[in-house]
Amino acid sequence: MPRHRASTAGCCGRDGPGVHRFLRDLLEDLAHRCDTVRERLLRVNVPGPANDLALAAARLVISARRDITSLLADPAVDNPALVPDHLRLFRRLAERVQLAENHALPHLERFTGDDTNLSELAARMIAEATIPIVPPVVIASSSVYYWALPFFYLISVPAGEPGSLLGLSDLGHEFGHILIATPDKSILPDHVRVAVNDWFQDARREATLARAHRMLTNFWLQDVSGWITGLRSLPVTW
Amino acid sequence: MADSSIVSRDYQRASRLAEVVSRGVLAVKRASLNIASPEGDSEDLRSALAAVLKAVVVALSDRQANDASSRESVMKARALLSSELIDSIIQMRSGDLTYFVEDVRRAAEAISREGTPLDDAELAVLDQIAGAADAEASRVYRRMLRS
Repeated sequence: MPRHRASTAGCCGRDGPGVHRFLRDLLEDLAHRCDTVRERLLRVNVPGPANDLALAAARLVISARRDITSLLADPAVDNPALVPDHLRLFRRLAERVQLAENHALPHLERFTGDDTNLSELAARMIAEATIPIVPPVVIASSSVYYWALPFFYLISVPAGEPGSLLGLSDLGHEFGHILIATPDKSILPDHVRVAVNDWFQDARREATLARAHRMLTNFWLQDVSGWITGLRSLPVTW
Repeated sequence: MADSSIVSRDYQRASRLAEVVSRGVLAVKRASLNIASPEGDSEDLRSALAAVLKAVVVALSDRQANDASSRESVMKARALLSSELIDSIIQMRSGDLTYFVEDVRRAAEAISREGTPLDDAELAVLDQIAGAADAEASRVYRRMLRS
């Protein structure tokens, strides 16, 4: 099997022929995954904003597939000097496809009447409050309380929320995440965003330092004092 | 409420930046290897990469600046680059940061002037920044999946 032997020899060197063969295999595998995810996304039959989500996710996958096709058609993919750069591009493409596969497809394939009601409720709240955002898809399947994925206009809430009104304020909070991510400079100018981020960064650092200080104190109190007590109890005199 | 709401925005930014840098570096390397670019927007990619490199220079060299114009430049750079990315570059090149900043500045100037070839040190700098941006995007992506 000379072909197999040549491939194995190439894998031994970092820039050998095996590396770009491996990259081509990765790209071909991802292309196949794109086709599967796209087909499933286009098959789902959901109403209103959920259909927009399906189309947005499908567009994401189709654009990734287009980039993969151009990469596979490009002889430079086989150039060992460019393998690290192409691998970086592959990672971004893989993430794009995973986003559609992990964050849009499962919710759309299991979209229920509760999700439709929540999405309609969200659209009505947004219209009444005249919030300048696209009405999101709201799904009741979260395992970590409320969360939002602004780039998909997707909000997830716990499974019990459709039967309760208590979480409505939290739904409004998630609208805020989508609003902030909306590409409109007048909503949150760069200098405000940087200032807010800086403040949180400093607060996070202080919290980390405080935690480290607490851990050191506990270490001293529990362990070091224990050693001193242990040393004192030794039957040795200095 | 959950972290994913915030992390997803960080991911969008980190991913876009990493892609811009990777594509820009690829365009520059192709030119230096005399490989024709299949994309017609090679010039746009180089300009975008040069802008990112200039922001890196500002973020690394004017961190402690007190005057208003420098603060303004730092603000603009910080809007483009996350503090985690800058910290990772500082950590990576803590021993020779001044020389690194100079190499980045020269690389940015060479990329801005079409037809100017980049030397090995400048290409190495591009690889390091592309690697740091890629690592940052992957880190935020993994964090988003976990949250």
